[in-house]
Amino acid sequence: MNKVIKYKLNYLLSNKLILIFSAILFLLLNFNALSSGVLTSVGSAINIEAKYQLLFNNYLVVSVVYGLIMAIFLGSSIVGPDAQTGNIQVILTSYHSRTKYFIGTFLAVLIYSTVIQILLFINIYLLMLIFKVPYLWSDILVGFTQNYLNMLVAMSVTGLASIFIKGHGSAFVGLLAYTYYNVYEYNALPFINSSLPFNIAQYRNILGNFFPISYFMAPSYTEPSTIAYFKFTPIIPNIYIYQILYIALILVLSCVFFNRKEI
Amino acid sequence: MSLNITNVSKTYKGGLWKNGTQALCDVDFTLNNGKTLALIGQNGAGKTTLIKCVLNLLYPDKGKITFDESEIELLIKNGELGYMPESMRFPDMITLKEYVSDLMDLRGKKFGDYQERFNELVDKFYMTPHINKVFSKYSKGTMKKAAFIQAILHNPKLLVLDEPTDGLDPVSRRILLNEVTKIKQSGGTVIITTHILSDLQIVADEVIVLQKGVLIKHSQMNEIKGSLDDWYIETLLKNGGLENL
Repeated sequence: MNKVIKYKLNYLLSNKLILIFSAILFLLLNFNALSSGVLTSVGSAINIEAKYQLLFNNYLVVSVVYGLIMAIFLGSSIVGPDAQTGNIQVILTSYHSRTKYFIGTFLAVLIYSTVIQILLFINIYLLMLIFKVPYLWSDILVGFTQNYLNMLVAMSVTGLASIFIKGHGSAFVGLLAYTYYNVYEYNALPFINSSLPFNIAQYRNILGNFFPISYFMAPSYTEPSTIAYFKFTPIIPNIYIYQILYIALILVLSCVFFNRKEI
Repeated sequence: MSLNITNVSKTYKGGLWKNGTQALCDVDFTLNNGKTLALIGQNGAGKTTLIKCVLNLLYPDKGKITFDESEIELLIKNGELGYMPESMRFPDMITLKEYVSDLMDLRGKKFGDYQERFNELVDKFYMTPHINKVFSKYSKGTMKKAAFIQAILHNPKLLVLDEPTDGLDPVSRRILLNEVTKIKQSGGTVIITTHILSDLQIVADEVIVLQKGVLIKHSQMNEIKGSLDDWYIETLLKNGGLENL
C-alpha cells in the first residue's frame, strides 16, 4: 500500500492546481482573521479576552470552511481524475488490489490534509504570538480535532462519489453535502426555512446523522446556552465516535463499490 | 502454457429506458505463449470489451479467463502484465521518468533495474528531447509512444496493445512493431488490436475476427494467402457482416 501512497502523493504534489488552491485559501484565511478585528484592536483599549475571541474565532470559523472545501477537493481526486484520463486502466493492470489502491489513495490525501492541518496549527500559534494573545491549548486542540474529523467525513463522502463521477466532478457532491450541513445546522439558506412550515433545525439530530459535521465554539468565551443551542447529537451520543464509525462505514462501502466497478 | 478464454460472454447493462447490449457472446479460444494474436473487427465488434475482460477491468457475465492456468490477478500481482490503452492521458504535471518509476514500484519492480532499458527505449523512439518535459507538453504521438514504453519496459509475460499504432508516424510504427516482435521472441504473449491490417502481417501469428461480439473466424496468419485486408473483407462477407458495402 506504501507504493500507492507514494504514487498518489507524487501526483498531488505535482498538481499545481491543488498547490495554488491551498496557497490562496491560506492567504484568505489569514486575511480574514487579521482584517476582521485584531489589527484594528491593536493599541486600543480592547481587552485581551476579546482580542483572543476575535482572533481565534475568526480563524477557526474560516479554517473549518477552508478545511471542508479542501477536503472536498482532495476527496474528489481519489479516483475521479485517473478515471477521466484513462490512467486508472494502467494503474489497475499494474497493481493487484483495488481495495489497497483505494485505501492507499485515501491515505495519501489524508497525509496531504494532515500537513495542511499542521500548517494551520502553526499559523494560529504564530498569529497569537505576534498579537500577544494567550494561547489556550485546550480550545485549540478541541477545535483542530473537530476540524480534522469534519475534513475526514467530507473527504470520505467525496471519495465515495469519485468512484462514480469522473474528473473532479464528485466535488459537487461534497459541496451539496456541505450545503445540506449548513441547512440543518444554521438554516443557512433562508428561502428553505421560509418555504417550510417548520424550523428545519429542530430535526438537526436526525438530519445530522447523514453528514455528521460538528460545529465548534471555543468553550472559554462562548455562553453555554449558545453551545447547547447548536449542539448536535447523533444516534451515538459521542460525536467523535460517531464520526469515526461513519468514516469507517463509508470507506468499507467505497471499497466494495470500487471492487465491483467496471472500468 | 497459454492464455485460455473459455465461453466468455459480456452484456452491458441498460438503464431504465434502455436495453442492455451484448458485447461478447461465448468467445472461446486458446493462445499459446510466445504467440501474437491480432484481434480485428468493425467498430463496436467487442475487441476492447474482450481486452478489458482479459485485463480484469471488466467482469464477464459468463466464462473464464486464465493465463498459465492461473487467474489474471496473479499475473498483475507479479507485475507481469503490460497494457497500452487505446487512448489515455497521463497525469499532466509529471515527467515520463517519474511516472514510469512510480508504475514500476506499483508492479513490485525496481526502476533502477530497468533504467538502461528505459534509456534505450526512449532513445529508440526519439523521445530523448522529451525526457524532462511534463506530459501536458506531449503531442498525441509522443503520448502514444510513452504509453507503449510503460507497457513493455518490464518485459511482460502478457502484453495487451489496444490500437497501438493509431496516430504514430510510419517510422515510429515500424519501431513499435519491431519491439513487439522482440517481446514475442523472448517468450511473451501479445494481444494486439488495430484497424491498420498491414501492421498485423508483420507481427501477428494468429488472427481472430469478431463480429457483433461473436468470434466468427480464428486463423493462423500463415494460412492466409494474399493480403489480410482481402481476407478480412471476405470473412465478413461470408458472415453477413457487410450489408452496406
